[in-house]
Amino acid sequence: MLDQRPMARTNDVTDEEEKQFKAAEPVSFVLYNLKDDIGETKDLSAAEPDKFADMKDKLLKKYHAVREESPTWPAWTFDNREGQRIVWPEYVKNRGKGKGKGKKGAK
Amino acid sequence: MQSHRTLLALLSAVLFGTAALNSVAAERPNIVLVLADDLGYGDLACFGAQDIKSPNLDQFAKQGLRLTSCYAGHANCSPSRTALMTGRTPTRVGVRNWIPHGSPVHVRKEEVTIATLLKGAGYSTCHVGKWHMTGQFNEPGVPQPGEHGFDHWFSTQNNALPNHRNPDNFVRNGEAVGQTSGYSAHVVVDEAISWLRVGRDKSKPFFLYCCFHEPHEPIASSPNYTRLYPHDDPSYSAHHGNVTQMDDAFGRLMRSLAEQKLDGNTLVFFTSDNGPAITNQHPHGSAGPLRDKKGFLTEGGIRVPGMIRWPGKVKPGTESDTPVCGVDFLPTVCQIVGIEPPKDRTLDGTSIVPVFSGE
Repeated sequence: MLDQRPMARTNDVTDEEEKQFKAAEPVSFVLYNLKDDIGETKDLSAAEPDKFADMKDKLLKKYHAVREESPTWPAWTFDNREGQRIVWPEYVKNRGKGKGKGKKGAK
Repeated sequence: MQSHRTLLALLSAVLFGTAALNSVAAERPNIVLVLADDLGYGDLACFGAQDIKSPNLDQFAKQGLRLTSCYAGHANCSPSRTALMTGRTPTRVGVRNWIPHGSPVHVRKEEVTIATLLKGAGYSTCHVGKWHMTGQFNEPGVPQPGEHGFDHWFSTQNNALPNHRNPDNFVRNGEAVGQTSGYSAHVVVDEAISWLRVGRDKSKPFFLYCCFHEPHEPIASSPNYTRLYPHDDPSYSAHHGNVTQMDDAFGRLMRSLAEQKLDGNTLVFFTSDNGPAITNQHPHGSAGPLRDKKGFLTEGGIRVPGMIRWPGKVKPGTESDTPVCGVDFLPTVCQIVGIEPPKDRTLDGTSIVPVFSGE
């Protein structure tokens, strides 16, 4: 989880979001042992502080390098032009939930 | 005498040099990368699905190496594909989320894709299916599949539209194709087979990047496949049938490679771009025992089926739980082909060739 979250999640590219991205810092971390816990149910960050600190350090180093290198993009407003072209099968229309015009549009 | 000796040396250099080049060329394998769309870790019989029929991929698994800790480069489509093509963590490249049609986001010209590297090394290259590495698809000013190294491309910006049935949004080498006939996985494989038979330069090895639209929404499945899954909920039959639709098309591609006697010296890597979507309309995908789904950085979002078939090099019926990732594809292929990965930028992947022999 990052410390700066956009006010509303949209598919727009906004100057504010691009600026936030360049400054956002991870603030919440968990540690799982996938060998014993493939379903990621038990957070081991408190039980294994050394392992946790080591992996967190590696993650943050990579995160900062990647964030630094990433280009940003000019502002753009999502128009769902793809979503508007979708023809859903009858059973989806009859399903009552979502008709392809959900707020997130097509993915 | 001196001049004769020089001539002899030159001659032998030419002869042996050519022979050496030919033998390298003969050994260099063809590379096929097949990508499913939103296929979860638990969505194939060979990865534990109880209720999905995937006979072709199950057989494929028996012929090669099953990767049980295979990670997509991201939890959704555009960044995951960017990782496969560039060997770089997609945020580094600026692709941080799915790219809607019209968006300025794209994989920039200065990025070096595996297709560009292989083309430069003398490969004939082709992309078929979903591209999703630019919002401004088939528009001037930003690179299209052709500018990212593909000699031949038959591609869509994102999903097949209006759905998988008779899609009308393919572009072939810059020209809109218009309405096609059939279901997307078969339309895509038809193009791939046609390119393999008559399109490619047969004096060269080839790289085929085959990106299915299935089982991503908007789903449309042929009755040939939905009838395999009788169920009260037609969405269930459609989703599972959609996986089988892809599996059947994959089987056609593999049989065509065999018929053309190309399967022996061809490395085929099958994987998915991210975990299962599990939407309101189609909640029937599965991440198996993993937590969460597409869009999450927990295992269900990023751990995907992975399989490699390469006769003589990868032992049939083997399995590895060594973690591998989409960013590893570029450096792995570079090692196999004997070319240098780009040195002027950070690559996040590493060659997984040692995994082939169980190391």
